[in-house]
Amino acid sequence: MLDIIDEPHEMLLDNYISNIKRKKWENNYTIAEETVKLFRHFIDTIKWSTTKELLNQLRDYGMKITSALPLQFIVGNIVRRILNIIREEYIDARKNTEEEIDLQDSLHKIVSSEDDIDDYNTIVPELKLSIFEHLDEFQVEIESSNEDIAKQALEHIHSNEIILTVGKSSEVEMFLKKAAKDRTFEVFVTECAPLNHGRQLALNLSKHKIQSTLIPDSTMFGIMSRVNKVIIGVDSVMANGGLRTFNGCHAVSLAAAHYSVPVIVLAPMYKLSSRYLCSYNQDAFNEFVSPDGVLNYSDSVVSKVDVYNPTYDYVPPENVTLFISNNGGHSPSYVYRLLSEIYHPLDYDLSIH
Amino acid sequence: MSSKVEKQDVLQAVVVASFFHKNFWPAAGKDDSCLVPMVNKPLLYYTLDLLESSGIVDVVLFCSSCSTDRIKTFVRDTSFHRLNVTYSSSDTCRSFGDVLRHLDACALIRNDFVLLWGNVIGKLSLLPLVKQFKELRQRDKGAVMTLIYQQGNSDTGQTLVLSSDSHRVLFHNKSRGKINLPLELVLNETVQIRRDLLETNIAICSTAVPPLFADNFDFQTKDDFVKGLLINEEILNSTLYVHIIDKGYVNEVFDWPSYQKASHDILHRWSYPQVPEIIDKYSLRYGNVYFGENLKLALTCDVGNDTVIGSDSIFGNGTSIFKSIIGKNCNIGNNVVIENSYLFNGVNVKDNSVIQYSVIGENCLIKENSTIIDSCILGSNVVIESTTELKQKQLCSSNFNNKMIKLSPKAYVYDAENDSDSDGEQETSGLRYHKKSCSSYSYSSSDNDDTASIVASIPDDTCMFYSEVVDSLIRGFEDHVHCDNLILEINSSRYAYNINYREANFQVIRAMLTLNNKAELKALNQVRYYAQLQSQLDYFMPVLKNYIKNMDSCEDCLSAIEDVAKCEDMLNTVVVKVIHHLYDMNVLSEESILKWHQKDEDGPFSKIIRDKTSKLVEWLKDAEEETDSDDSS
Repeated sequence: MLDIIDEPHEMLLDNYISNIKRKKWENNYTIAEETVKLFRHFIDTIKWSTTKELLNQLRDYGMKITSALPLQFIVGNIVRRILNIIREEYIDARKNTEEEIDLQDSLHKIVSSEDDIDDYNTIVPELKLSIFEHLDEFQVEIESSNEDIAKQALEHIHSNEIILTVGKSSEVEMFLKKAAKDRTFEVFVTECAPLNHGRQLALNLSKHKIQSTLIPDSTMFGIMSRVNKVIIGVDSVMANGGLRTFNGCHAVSLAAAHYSVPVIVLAPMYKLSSRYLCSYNQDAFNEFVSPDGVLNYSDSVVSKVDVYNPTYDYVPPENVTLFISNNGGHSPSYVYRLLSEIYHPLDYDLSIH
Repeated sequence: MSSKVEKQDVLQAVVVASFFHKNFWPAAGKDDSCLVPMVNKPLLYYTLDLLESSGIVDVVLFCSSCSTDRIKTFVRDTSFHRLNVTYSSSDTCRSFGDVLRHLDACALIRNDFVLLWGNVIGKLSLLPLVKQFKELRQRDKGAVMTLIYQQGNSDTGQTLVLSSDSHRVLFHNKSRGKINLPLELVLNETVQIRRDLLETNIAICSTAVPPLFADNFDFQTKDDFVKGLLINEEILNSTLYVHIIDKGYVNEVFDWPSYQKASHDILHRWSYPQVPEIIDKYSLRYGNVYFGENLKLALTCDVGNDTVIGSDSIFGNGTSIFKSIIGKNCNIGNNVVIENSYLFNGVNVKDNSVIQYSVIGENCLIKENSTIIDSCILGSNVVIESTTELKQKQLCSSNFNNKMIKLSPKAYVYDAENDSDSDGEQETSGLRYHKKSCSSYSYSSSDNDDTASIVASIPDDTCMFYSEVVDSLIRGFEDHVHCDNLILEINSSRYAYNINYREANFQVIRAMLTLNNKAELKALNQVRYYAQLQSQLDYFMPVLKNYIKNMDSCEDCLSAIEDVAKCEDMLNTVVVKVIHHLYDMNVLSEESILKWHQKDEDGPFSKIIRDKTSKLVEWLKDAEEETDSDDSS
């Protein structure tokens, strides 16, 4: 019986992992959505009686997925977020049934009463239903995050400003398009070699009647003195407020720091990661893809040189001025606070029970 | 109606997982060559992964019946969930053509299909190509096959003439050297003549291909097919097209040199996403070092660039690895050196051994102080006793058909030279041995005592000239032909192959010093070798004097001697005597020897040979001073 239920999920998981590994889902947004879907299915198929059991199974499962996809920080973010959602729902449910804790109580009482809640062993009826409702909300949050960020565009982009952006990011694209409805401004887009995604963005913007100029990465410094704001997208935000972002952004942020140009990073909440930069090696931070864009395979020197094509850059938090998330603007030093709001401290390490 | 719908939807791929060659023997047998580990994954994995990621579902896998079980187990264990694999096997198939005839007889092909060998690695989205092919079929009903080539960077020795606009194949020739193109090719349309295309062994075929093979029972390979179609274009009413991939990476692995190349490319991530840490559990460090799980590496062991270490392996103190691939569960002792080698799973290497440019099969045991270098290939389960030295050998753990020489209870050496009955199979394994040593030669310039490999590495015309000179000299020496006639003969070959003067000097001296073939060399000891060489040199003295006349030619002569001594131990031992003898006979001048000796060459060998000759040079210098002082007094 268990097998029959399990097998389709195994298939789903295999598909999920191979699609991400083979870059069928390039976009972080797609990965986030698919991860939530996968977890919904998982919670639906497994058997559990107490919340503790559910949490433990989810942590094991999360551990399995994150170790299979060590470079997709987003997967880990979603896993922790879902664990937090379950914890919240459980505590809410307990509160509603027992109404023991009054927020007006003394600090001592809150601290001492927390202990009996923390073991998550009480069986709460209808918990599954409320979890699913909350997951729906979460899914809506992910879906609408780009729009929510774009809504704040007018607060940041003013008339006749010159904006510089790097590569292609769906958040930045929407942000600029939204601002263009009311303001006129000029955009410089760097090509972002070797993937050259910048070209696509410049094309999309010009179709939208935004005056945009595509520049090679190397000319970015010369133009920086004229730029009013740098707006970039991000792959994930590290726990210290640093960025893991497209190759080339570090140079841009340093140039911006040199000319005191503010760097604004558009980061939806699901891109907040609880990880720190500990090494630039592939297992912990960067991803090396085929050197194809850097050098052609048909060039005769190929067998004699080592060619690297890293995907990401690390930008330290001091080079970032402002994060704009779907909940508003935050400074890099505030990221730790956001982290403790959206993730439970116990979930930072998924391997500990 | 329903069949029509199905006909449009199903796209099949035919994977031929039986290579009909023994190129990977003894590390992998004839039947399971497609399971030879490539960066610790069977070769076939890469092909199936390529198909799966390009969205093909139906796969017909052809394999010989003795390996079917192994391949089935492999495919089942590696969870290709999205592939629907149909196995087809036959005992009677002896070639690629037979396979297609077999498929035709089984009627497994229902639609246009992708045809490839089980040795293709890389990434390619096949669906757009198939779509293109279908559109092509709308325009040209006779189109039967699109051959897929990769853009290369150098002369591949394969000539293709394509019509510029449609990329239709007009002419195909695989022979090296000069070719004749028929004039009609260029009369009617603009054409491209390409010699830079690399084979990928992927082709998109229409349903007409298997029947064509069935009708023409002399088609053995795809090349036969291409050739046959082009010759009988009107009769068969079929045309061929080419698609060239200029971006991306596809490669095929058919022998050891291409195996080396492909592993290098995988480690350098050209085949992304077919790289170790994506298809298996590895972690990547800078310098293309891939570590598996649960490794036990001693603190003092040195892991160099371009290395893969499979999971659960153990490395001892002071061991160093460089450009090598180590399988899973390997146990490497202390102070072992492994360079440019491939160790398969479960290999056990004891202390102080050295392994260079070699392939070690599964579960081999190499005992203390052994040296295995220069393209040794060990089959599985071989046990090498301690302090063994092996060079360019192929070893098996058991004695096949009693042709092997026993080295120890579980190690039998395959000896190509003593093998009297040379049917096709032996020839291929011999060839691969040259190829491998040739490639390791060019990779490393490691000293290599096989002349054939050097011959193979120099340009064609020079090579032909050299062999012709050797022939003339051998015949001349045996039949006592007059030296003037020999000079005439050599000169005429020189013009025939368009060899310049200095190159000719070089090659003639080389030829003269390498007249004795290997087998004879073995029989001779050092003294007799020199005696024979001296008699030969004396006999050819007029020839020598004809070619070595001035300073430049002396230089050529000396560098030829150096070159030959580098790869022939016998000559190496008597090289001083040879130079001295030539000096005595007034062939080499004193200045030229001094000049050659002073010339700084890098490379360990040129130092050695200069050290050896330094006594002679000192003697020459002394002699010179004496004569000088004589003159003055």
